[in-house]
Amino acid sequence: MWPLVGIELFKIFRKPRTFIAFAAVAAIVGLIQLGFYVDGESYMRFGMQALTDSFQVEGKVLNGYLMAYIILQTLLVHVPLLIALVAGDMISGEAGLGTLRLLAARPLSRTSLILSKFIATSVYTLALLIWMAVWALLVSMLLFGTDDMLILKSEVVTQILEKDILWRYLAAFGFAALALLTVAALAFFLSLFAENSIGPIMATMSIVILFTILNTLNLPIFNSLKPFLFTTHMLGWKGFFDVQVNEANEQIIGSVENLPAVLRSAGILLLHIVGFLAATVFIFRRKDILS
Amino acid sequence: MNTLLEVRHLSKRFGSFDAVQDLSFTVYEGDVFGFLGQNGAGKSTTIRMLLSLVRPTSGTIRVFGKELSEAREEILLKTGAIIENPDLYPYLTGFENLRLFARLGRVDASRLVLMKKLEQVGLASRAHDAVRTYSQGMKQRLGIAVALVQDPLLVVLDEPTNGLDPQGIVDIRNLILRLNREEGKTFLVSSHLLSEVELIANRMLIIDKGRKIAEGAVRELIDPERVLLELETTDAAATVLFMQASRWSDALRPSTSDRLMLDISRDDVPRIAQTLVEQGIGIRSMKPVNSLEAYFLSLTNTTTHVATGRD
Repeated sequence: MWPLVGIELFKIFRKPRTFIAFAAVAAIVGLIQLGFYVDGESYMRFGMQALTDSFQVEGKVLNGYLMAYIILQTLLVHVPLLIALVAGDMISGEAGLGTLRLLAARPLSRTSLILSKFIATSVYTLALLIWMAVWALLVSMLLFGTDDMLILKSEVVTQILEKDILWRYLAAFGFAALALLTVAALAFFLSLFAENSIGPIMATMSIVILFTILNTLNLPIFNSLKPFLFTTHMLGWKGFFDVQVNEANEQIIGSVENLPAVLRSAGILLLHIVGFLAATVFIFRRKDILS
Repeated sequence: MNTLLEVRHLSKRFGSFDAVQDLSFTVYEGDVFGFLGQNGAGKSTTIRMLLSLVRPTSGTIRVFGKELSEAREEILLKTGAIIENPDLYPYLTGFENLRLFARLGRVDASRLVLMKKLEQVGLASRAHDAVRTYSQGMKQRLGIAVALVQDPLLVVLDEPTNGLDPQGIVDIRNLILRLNREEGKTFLVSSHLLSEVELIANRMLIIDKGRKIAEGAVRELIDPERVLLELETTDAAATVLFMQASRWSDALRPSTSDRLMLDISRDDVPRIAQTLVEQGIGIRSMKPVNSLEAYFLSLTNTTTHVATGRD
């Protein structure tokens, strides 16, 4: 199995399209950082006007931690496209090239062939996430420095102490890995039914966009659907930035306000991954390879 | 003769379409087995079933004495195959493609061995160029190297000369014959060209619309003493009347045009020409036909004209 994974990784990282995603992440994050580096202070003043009218805010509000939060919020909607670019090509691309029939005629079990492809897809997904983490968090920390983190929501302002932040990002990126692997598993599954990668990539993105739109519409008919949409749970990483407070309204270090909800979302995403992968293996084992 | 591949009552149905019907044949060790059929006859579907890419609707496949459904990996370890014209991985070099498929075939081949394989198919000088820069013929030759890289006992080649120039076709033909003679490899080679199979195969199977038409030694199925002749004269009707009244009345075969098709011994060719001229019938052209379609015609005995879509 592991030599197979190595071969699949070799193929992924020899394809020029693989690096589009890495270049895109670096470019987008770089642009956001540049924008905030130049105009961030005035932007923050405007954004925090209501808060500064009533409170005195001290310290470096626009710091690396906040930048990482802003970038993650922006990018985690778009990164699925970059994931689908590779995951949607894993089987369909081989079918289009005529290599799927060569692979399936080698002395390998179809299950190990599919699993090795999915593991390689997962490695790519995680590599892209780590790349994003380096740019979004580490580079932002270097550029903007560090301090306590203020998160402004519609009715609440959450302050997280500097010493209590890094582990939350580790957890958030871990959760984001599950979210992106869910998209990868969906694109991988759809890749089974096509002979070129455009179809699965478009289909994956259409599903993600449709579900995301349904998530944002606050209508009763859609509200009942939301718990069943994986996109609802993809944003669960934000839960790690909701902290518990004690009776004196002080932050409890290391706390998460609603950990069971975050874990439930993670579990649902994990179920999606296992479900999509199991369906892919099941169908591929019985599939007539006619491409 | 040891049986290497034994197919019994193999059928494949796609929806309501019977792609392969009740097909049985045997390939023996050391054979170059020609698998003939026109496009759409069911050759590729059969080959895909032999390689476990397509699940048969019914029937059995035994390779190296074992059921394919039970010993798939063991059988594929000793079987090399190239199916239709794969593009391979265009962003990798020829050498990288070959090394990748060697590893997938559980072969830990050295660089020297891989280069030797590429040399065998005439690609050593382009080994380190990306496959996207290869011509169709070069991709086809690389595909054959991929089929041979795990040193298989049985090599299955689906239309291996497709897309090749005349010299490429000769090279592949010579390669197959050399590997068969010198290394004792058994080949199953599909083609829609009778002339191609006639030149390399010792035994052959002919299928049409998924059914077996003939199986046996090429020498028995194609009599070298006989020739299928396409004849065009100045008066086709008079020629037919003359032939029907002559000792060559049995030689007439169905034809698709005004040209007549004759299945005769080679010795009769000058005699017929001379007799027709003596009868005042001019000969516009006389040429041997060696196509699969013509062979199908030679298998039938009726003299009615048939439409094959060529006219």
